Amino acid sequence: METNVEKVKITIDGKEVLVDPGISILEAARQNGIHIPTLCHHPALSSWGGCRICVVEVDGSPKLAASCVTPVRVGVVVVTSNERIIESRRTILEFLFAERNHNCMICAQSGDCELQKLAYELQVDHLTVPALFDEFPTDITSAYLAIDHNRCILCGRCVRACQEISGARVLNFNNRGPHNLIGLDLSETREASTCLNCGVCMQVCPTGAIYDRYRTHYAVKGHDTAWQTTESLCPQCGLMCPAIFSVHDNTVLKIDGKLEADDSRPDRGQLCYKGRFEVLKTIGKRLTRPMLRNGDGTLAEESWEKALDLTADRLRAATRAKKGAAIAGLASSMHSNEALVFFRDLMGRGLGAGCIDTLDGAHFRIVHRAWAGLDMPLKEASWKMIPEADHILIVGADPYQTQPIVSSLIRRTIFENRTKVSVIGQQADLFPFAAHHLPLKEGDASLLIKALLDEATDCGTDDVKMAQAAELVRKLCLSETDAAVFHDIARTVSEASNPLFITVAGLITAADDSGFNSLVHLSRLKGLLPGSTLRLIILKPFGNSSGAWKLGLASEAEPGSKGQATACVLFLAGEQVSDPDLLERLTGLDFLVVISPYIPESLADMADVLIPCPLWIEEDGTYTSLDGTETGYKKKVIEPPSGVRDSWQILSALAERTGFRPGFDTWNDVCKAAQKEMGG
Amino acid sequence: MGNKGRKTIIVCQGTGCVSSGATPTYKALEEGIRKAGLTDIQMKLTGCHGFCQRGPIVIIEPDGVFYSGVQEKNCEEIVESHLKNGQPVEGLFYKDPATGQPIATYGEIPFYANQERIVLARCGHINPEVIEDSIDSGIYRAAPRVFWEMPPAAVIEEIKKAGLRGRGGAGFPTGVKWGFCANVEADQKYIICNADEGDPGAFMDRSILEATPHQVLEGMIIAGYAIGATKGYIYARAEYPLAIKRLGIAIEQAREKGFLGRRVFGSEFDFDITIFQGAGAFVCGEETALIGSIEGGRGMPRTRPPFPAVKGLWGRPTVINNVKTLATVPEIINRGAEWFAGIGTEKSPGTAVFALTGKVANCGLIEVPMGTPLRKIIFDIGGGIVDGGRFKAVQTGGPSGGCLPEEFLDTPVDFENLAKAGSIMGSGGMVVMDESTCMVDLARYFLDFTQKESCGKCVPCRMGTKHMLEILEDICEGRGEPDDLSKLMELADAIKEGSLCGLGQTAPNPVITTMKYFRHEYEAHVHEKRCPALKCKAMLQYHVNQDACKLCGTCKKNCPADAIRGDKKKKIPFEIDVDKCIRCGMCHTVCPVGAVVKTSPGIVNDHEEAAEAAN
Amino acid sequence: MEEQLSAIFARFRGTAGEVIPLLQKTQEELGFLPEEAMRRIGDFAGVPFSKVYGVATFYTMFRFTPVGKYHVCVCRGTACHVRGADQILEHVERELGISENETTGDGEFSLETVACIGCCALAPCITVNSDVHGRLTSKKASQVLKKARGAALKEEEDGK
Repeated sequence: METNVEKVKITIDGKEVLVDPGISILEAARQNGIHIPTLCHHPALSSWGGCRICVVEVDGSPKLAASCVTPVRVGVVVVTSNERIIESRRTILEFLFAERNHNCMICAQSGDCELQKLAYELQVDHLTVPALFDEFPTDITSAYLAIDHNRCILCGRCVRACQEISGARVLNFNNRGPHNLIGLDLSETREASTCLNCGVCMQVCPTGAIYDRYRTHYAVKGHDTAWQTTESLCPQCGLMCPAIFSVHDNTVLKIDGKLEADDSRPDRGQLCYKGRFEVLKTIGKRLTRPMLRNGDGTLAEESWEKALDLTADRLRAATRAKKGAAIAGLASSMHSNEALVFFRDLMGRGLGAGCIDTLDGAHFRIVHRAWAGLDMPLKEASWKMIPEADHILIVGADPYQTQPIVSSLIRRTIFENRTKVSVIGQQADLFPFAAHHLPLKEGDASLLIKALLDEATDCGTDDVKMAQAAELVRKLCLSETDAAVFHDIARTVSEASNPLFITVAGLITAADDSGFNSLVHLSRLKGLLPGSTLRLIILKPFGNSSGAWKLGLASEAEPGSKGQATACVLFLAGEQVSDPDLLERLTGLDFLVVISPYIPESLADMADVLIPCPLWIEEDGTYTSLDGTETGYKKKVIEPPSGVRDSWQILSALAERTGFRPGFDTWNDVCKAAQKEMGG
Repeated sequence: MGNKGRKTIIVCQGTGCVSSGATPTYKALEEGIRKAGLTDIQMKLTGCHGFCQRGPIVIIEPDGVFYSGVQEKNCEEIVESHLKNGQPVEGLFYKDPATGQPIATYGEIPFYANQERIVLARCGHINPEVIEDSIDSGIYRAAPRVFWEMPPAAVIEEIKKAGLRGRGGAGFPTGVKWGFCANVEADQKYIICNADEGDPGAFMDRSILEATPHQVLEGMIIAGYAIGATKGYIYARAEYPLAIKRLGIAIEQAREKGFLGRRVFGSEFDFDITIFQGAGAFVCGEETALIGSIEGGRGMPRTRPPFPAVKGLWGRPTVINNVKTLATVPEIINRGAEWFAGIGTEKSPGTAVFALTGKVANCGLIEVPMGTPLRKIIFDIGGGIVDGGRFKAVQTGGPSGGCLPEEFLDTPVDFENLAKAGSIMGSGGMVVMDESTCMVDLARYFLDFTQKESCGKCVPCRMGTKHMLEILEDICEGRGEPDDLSKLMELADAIKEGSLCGLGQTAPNPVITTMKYFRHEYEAHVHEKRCPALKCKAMLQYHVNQDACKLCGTCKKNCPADAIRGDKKKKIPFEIDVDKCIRCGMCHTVCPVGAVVKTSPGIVNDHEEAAEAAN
Repeated sequence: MEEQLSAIFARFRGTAGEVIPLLQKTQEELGFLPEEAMRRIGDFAGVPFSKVYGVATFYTMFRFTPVGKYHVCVCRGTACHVRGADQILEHVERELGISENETTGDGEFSLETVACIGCCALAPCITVNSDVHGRLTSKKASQVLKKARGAALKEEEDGK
């Protein structure tokens, strides 16, 4: 890009200013601190020029120009505000208020509404035109957001956001003129449509036409000027999306994506249904004070000192009774690197635990074994490479469930680049758009991928391999249609010059990881990406799986291989435990301590001690990206409930009581240690 | 044209004549000639002659005899009398509406005699489906000349010199537009022929495409060469199936001849044309909406700049010209810029093509030099008002234009003068109205149209037109309020200054001009609840004039609302029950003696009475 | 429908720019645009369903329900308007017993209005399927409908 482009001299409101050529009058005004009201304009979206609120006078022309779509010209004279302009803007607002039912008192978005604010700004206190609105139904088929046409001003922001940012392209204008209506797909309900629930439409909606159903109406929370915003990141899935939290009264009212007009992040800063809605879900009763199991078997609240003392005593006792293998430390990969480093050191160096593992350790072991079989160390591909791929093969993974942004990015790529996408397995949200879909039957995975490997890599060249592939396909008992799809996938893979494979480490059961190995092999054969990177994106189950794995928390050995533990520290981050294998392992322990933000319902009968810890949103920490290459800082957004101590404080207290000196005298020390280990 | 001495029978096959029955007429003539064993007679189909109202039209050349309204049943007589015995059939001659005198040849018919046809010169004389006919008539003479003798810049210069202005409505200089586009570097450019003739009451483009499609293709080839476009699109309304069919044939034939495709006319230049059918959206006549539509989207306009000449179809430089503009181009090349500039007025050279319709005696397609006064068009060519009515107003420019009253009859028709009067040239619709047209109802009609056709993107157009329409509907239905007129003007201003595209910016024009020139009609509606033109139903009353009534009972028989009392046998006088009457006008239409009288008595409202009393 | 669509698609390349012609050809073939056909068009042209539907509902020519055997369009062009198109429309509505954009119960007639069919010199006019009938009066309009109805009856009898 040219850096020293010649500036353009223009006059705005009598002031001569120099601005970059090609920018809009609106941008020029804003750069120079001149306010022009807008409605359909959104900085992260393409300009539309429909609402006409931003009209200005250009060179005294009798026609007013929409400043958002009018580029600056050399010497242009712009007036951004005079009686005529204000009158025109007021008329527009009156038209809008007369067009639909904008009854602020009963609107979910009151206080956080651009239309309402503009009415105040332009002092529209009555309508000179009659109200002409009909009543429209409200679509509440989504658990997350509601679409209320009665509040819609047809600015088209949602349509553009759905197209340009989300990529889902579910929203569009229907009909024409005064009959215009925002519709989903073929005028379907949210639920019946192919909507990805990302909520970016809701974020950009300037009124209450698309509002959050997930949280209770926050209209009652007052005016948005009273809220605080904190910019942080979403730690839910490893994509580390920037997020802006609006907080009032120590409550998160909403989470917005940090939308970008350019592709500095290929997802342009959108959030997904998880990061916008689900993270705010309360999944149980908050644990605010430690609890101990009494003699009668019930749990009762206890003081921190007593709970910590007891925990330390019992752990020390367990160590003494049975050297080494006595203690198991099990952490959620939703924790920050800092918490994980401390936990690992406490359990390992401090207590000499025989097993330190994460809840997703099984996934790690599959990847680890596959990696060990490679001829050289290779990196995983990043999800950011999706837009460049010419073919994407998804095997077993369901990005919509694990990393929803990956799913929307794939959809955008399909529409924008007509990239071919083949799905093997279940991926409901991509079915209508994928070039191929092959259902994956239980037990077929390894065979199928092996056959694909054979057929795709030696397409028509190696007779032996082709014969083997044919044999495997025969074994798979595919229907005629499915077999045709299979061959077409194989051909597409072999023809692709820049393919990308997406899978999930837990694709196949731990017992049979040959399918995963075949896929690694297949992607290896399609050539490496720069930087010794394999064409393979491995989706991981938790937000900081990569960090946890990199920090060595996940055990290479199967749990229990070094002997059965008698005591366990389970360090949860806000999830409920439902994995039957894990529950099985946790029964029969002598001592179980659970550190968790919520009361873990499935463990309520098992745990001897419950220690409350903050939720992710209540403490600082760093997280590592899905591909393990980036680390991001997650800021504390709200205070934990009173009585809840930081993870760092809890772990320090346990270290102190067990006589372990981890070397982390301050929070900063843990941060430094984590940073060092993550190669920061 | 044709073999000398041999008779050629020309049967018009334009949409107008076909719907009047030209197809059976053609067949009957053919059959008649075969039966009569006449061999030296050539049958020829042509496109629109322009005089659609009198169709089906049959012309016998070289005699120049013009038969109008020739139905199947008349054909035998033509064959027997004219073709066999050389005795023209006087009963089928055109009759001058003023004098009632039959006129034998089209050269003498005032409708044709007063025109100057450049664009329409070939309409009705050549068979549009036979390319040789077009070539014989001089089409495809300019294009090869351009390739061999003129560099693109010289072509643009020639068009500039001719002063040709876009015939789509706005009148932007064509040469300048081409120049902009030619100056932009691009890997691909496009020329689009705008045949999305959406103005209600206009059919010039349709007729031209039906009658002389090759003339338009040649214009596109020259334009493409001048601006460096190798691809052309014709965006035609889907409502014009015949025009689309003939264009398709013409393009096929031109490709076969090497006039389209690779190395056009043996030059180094490639050029091909695709037809794109519109799908019913008036706004797609707007350049950027039209482009959006070809790209497969909703035809919603965007703000210019960037102008299509810089960033148009698929983001490439694109010139969009109207059918008539492109059809004029080859003639300018053939006859020179000076010749063209010499026709018409200084600022608006050349001719204007109009679809002259409404309450005028001779409806049809006409072409006159720019600057011809309205009076000449309406009274000399159009033959005055139909049924001896009185001229009230003429509407030009369709929904974007305005209505001009009698005092403008001597206004020369060109871009400037019409704009000065508050109307616009438009693409060529010219609707003449007599006393029976209510100007408020007409304004309501146009607003209803623009409101339905608004794309809805910008608020002033989407909602402003709706509010204006609401008020106009109220006024027409007798619910007008005194301040409605000022409200209308305020809304009109807001829409004009705030709308995104031309559709919105001009939508209030019909209201503004009718308010300006026919304010008394608005006032009669609002203050007296009276429709002077006897058009607005809510203000009408029907009653039976007993003196004239012949007690035939036709009115009662036909009344769909059972609102007429009376008995033919018992000689009980017929009376209309005002409460039951739905004012459909059926009784008025069917009464054989004109005894059913339509009135708009109106009511003088209290407010005015009080005002009068105070005086 | 599947076969008809495949035959239509065979004449196209499957690009975003072809959505409108695809919809036109599909409607020509099927008489209207069934939901499934619009989905297939989206798949074929590589555009989202929302775009297909947004485009289809923008343009007046597209229909989402079948039309009657005789599709009557009353022209509402300016020339027709000043020559009494609204009376013709009212009359046709009365004759058929349906309003604009409706279809008779027996599926024989459907009624629409059209902005302008460009036969202004023959105003007022209507079209029945692709035939234009000009210079109409209420009486002549009745005749046109009667003729169509007669043809319908005849066809029915012939069929028996």
